Amino acid sequence: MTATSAWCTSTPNLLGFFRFSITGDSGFLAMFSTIAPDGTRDTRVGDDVSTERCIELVRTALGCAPDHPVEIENVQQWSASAVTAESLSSGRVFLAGDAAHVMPPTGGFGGNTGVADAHNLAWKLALVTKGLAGPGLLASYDEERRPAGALTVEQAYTRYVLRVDPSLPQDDLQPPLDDASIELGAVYRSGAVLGEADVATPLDDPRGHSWAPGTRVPHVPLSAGRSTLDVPATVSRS
Amino acid sequence: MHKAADEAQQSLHMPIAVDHVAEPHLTGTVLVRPDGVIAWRTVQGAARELTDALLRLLCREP
Repeated sequence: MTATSAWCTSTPNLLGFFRFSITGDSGFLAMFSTIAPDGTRDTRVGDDVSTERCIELVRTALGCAPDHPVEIENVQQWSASAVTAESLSSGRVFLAGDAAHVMPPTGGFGGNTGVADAHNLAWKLALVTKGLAGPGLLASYDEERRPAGALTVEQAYTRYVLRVDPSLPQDDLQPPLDDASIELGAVYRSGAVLGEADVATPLDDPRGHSWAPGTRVPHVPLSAGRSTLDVPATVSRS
Repeated sequence: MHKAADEAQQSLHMPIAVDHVAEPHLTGTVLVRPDGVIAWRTVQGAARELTDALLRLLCREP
């Protein structure tokens, strides 16, 4: 995977972000909206994606001279969506990542949510296919990841409305929650977690030490460069 | 294995990291899933005591 860096751009004329290769010699501009002189935002950026228009947008976003050399290699259109699948599993089929939930890029949650899906599912599949766990364990994937994904989708949408298009309805908008808790603080309630969760909220601050069932073991440094996150894979005692 | 922990493991449909915490004033069992999520615990105590006890548990080598 190529290392990249993201750079948000907000000028009087447009709203979007660049993502550059770490060497800075290539990248792309993702556009959310243009902004008219009276402040009106227009998200229909894709109506005109001619090369001339794209060069103009890149120059405006960079804030560079009007004759700055810009080469357009490719243009793709996308629509911001906020949708969660009704179920993440059916028989032998499991949905993860964008197949399970699509969300606006505001917040940068999409990639990490997909990784969290795979992290949740992989070890369950491994245990069940090796005959080390019962098939009931797989049912916990949907129970755990669908609520977490749905919450993340709503949080990305909240950020989209507040940052990109405040003209959208805000009556039923969820209040923005802490980024780190969204990324790492899901509280799982499923057949793979026993007992009452000590945490009443759907998220638990990963920087805290709740030790509650359904939450991640707190990340605490141990000796010899290890941490508590290294322990579960190596501990199996009875 | 602690009987309650054995029953919990069967209910969870999976083998799981299990250990018993035995401190002078703190006792119980904690189950940690392979993905690092706490599946079950019976350890009770004040937050600081609990963290200390569970860290001692996790720091021990297999």
